[in-house]
Amino acid sequence: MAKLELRNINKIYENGFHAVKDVDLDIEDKEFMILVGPSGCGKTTTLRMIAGLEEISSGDMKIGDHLVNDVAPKDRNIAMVFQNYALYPHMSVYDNMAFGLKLSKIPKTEIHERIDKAAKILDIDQLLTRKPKQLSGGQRQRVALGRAIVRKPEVFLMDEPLSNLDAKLRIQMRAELIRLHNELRTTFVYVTHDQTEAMTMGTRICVMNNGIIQQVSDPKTIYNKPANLFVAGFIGAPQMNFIDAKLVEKEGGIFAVIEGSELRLSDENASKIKSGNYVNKEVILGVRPEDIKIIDADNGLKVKVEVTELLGSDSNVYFTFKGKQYIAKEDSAINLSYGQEIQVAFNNERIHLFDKESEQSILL
Amino acid sequence: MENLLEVLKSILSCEIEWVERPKTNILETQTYIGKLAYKGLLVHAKLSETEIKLIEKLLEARTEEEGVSAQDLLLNPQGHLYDKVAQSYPLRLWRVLYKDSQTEVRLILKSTFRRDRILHMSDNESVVLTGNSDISPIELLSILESEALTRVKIVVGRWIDQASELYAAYIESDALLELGKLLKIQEQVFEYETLKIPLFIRQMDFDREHLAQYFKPMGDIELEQTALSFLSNNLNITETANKLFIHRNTLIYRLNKLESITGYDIRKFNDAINYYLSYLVSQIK
Repeated sequence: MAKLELRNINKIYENGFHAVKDVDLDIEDKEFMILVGPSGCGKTTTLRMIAGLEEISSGDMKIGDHLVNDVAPKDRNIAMVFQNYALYPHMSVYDNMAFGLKLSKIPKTEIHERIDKAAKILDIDQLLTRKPKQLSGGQRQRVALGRAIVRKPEVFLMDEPLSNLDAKLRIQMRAELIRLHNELRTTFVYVTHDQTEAMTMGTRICVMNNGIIQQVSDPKTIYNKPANLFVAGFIGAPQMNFIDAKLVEKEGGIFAVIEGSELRLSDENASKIKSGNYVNKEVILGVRPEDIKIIDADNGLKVKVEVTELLGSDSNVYFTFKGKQYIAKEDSAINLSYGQEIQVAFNNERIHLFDKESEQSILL
Repeated sequence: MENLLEVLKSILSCEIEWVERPKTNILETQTYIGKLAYKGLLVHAKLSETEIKLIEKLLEARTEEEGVSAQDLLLNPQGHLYDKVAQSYPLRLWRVLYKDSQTEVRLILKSTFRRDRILHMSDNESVVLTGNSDISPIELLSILESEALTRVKIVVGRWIDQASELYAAYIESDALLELGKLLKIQEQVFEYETLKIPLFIRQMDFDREHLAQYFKPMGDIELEQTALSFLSNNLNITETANKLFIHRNTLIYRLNKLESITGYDIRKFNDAINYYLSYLVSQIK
């Protein structure tokens, strides 16, 4: 079991591309840490540096109490699982799982014990004599996981392991990986671009963009208190709505003025705005689709319905306001038609405000 | 001597003009042939170091695979008939470069390419001559990195019809690696098919320095990467946006910006071709 410490880690490629910038991250023992972000954000490079498959340009990396900057990957006691669940095509499932152990010169009886145990955990004990061609995509990915488990690593490193699976299987495997983590009680570091995977699987999430860590926290905090505009926009589906607003003080409170309409902010938020000197300043207001409600009263924002998407349990309502499109999440029973004028209101307890220049949250 | 030369040619599947023998013990073929696998004794006016190395490695691979010594192979005039590789052309050259874990990598290659010829060129490089492999280059990369735990690069060369093309394919794989660097390809697999046009431009005999003046790089890496991704996704906006995890409107905004800077609307086929070729010329100076 091991914790990981990444201190001021940088990766600059030969061609000058600065892929990872000053990454500072502590991953606790037995934690399920998710590295999430868009393509090219540096998440895979960070994972590969932990594995030792990429050299660190500067900074320190510790696994447990050991500095591993110059330790070869095979001496780091890690195991990797990739998106391409590649198996030896001509070998049985058993031999696929045994091969790495044979390379490490583990005795036969121990190899057998380890495979037996891993196969039971992964529910593939009936498949041990099959060849990869006789397996489904999900089963093959399980074998790839098995190959990692039998190594008994201190840290599991996974790079988009579910990306090649179809949507249904992905959901199923997500749950299995959570179970696996609970069962193995080992540190998992998991890279994904999929924010749903990040939210559902991680004990903590590290959101990255342009090689920089944007926020590290538990899923709830990331969702409810995004540190900046990027995190707010990246996490959550449908995406958070962003509207330009001006903060003004009147009647003893703080109001966000949106195209002439006023929204009174909570007292807690008002004091943060005052202490941050944001009164009379332009900001970006963020509101999640589920925090916008259609109201009957006259004091809401007048908007026009564009499209309604029925998702079963609820509906996404796309509407326009002053020429821009926004999304609200409503009950599935709602019945709206194209072009219909409605009034919407924001839940003022759950709005987010961001500095226009720095794009940082001003409510944290 | 002539017979021996013919045998050598067919066994090594290469052109050999003449072989220098030791000045003493001319008739002692054992010494003569035993040393043949070593650099320096096999001499050909046109052979480069790499060619000699390839020949040595081919011979080494055959002696290991067939469990016979080099001299046995050479002394048996029928030896070449059993060369499994000579009978399975066309083949492709997969060049596997690895940082360490030499033993593990070699065992994995041996186990994965059981029917193919593997040449271990150095402590960090193996060459596989394979036909229709059961495994894709990207799958091999995953296996090697997760099992041998070492950083790996794979270059997949063009199809070759006979052994005499092996050297050219090997040298070409150097060019493919270099192109990967020039074109800032962050991936670890470089395939001839995807780099065929850049390779062609690289080989063209024109004043690229001069031409490059007309095709200056944009200097906007994000825009450049967006354009390349759009091209590799067959000019499909939805697929590109999905791949880059950006909203399609963001992609359209970037494509419009690219058009305003370069004059090319790469949503149109002709503009896409022109832009791509210009980009390649600007990169492959």
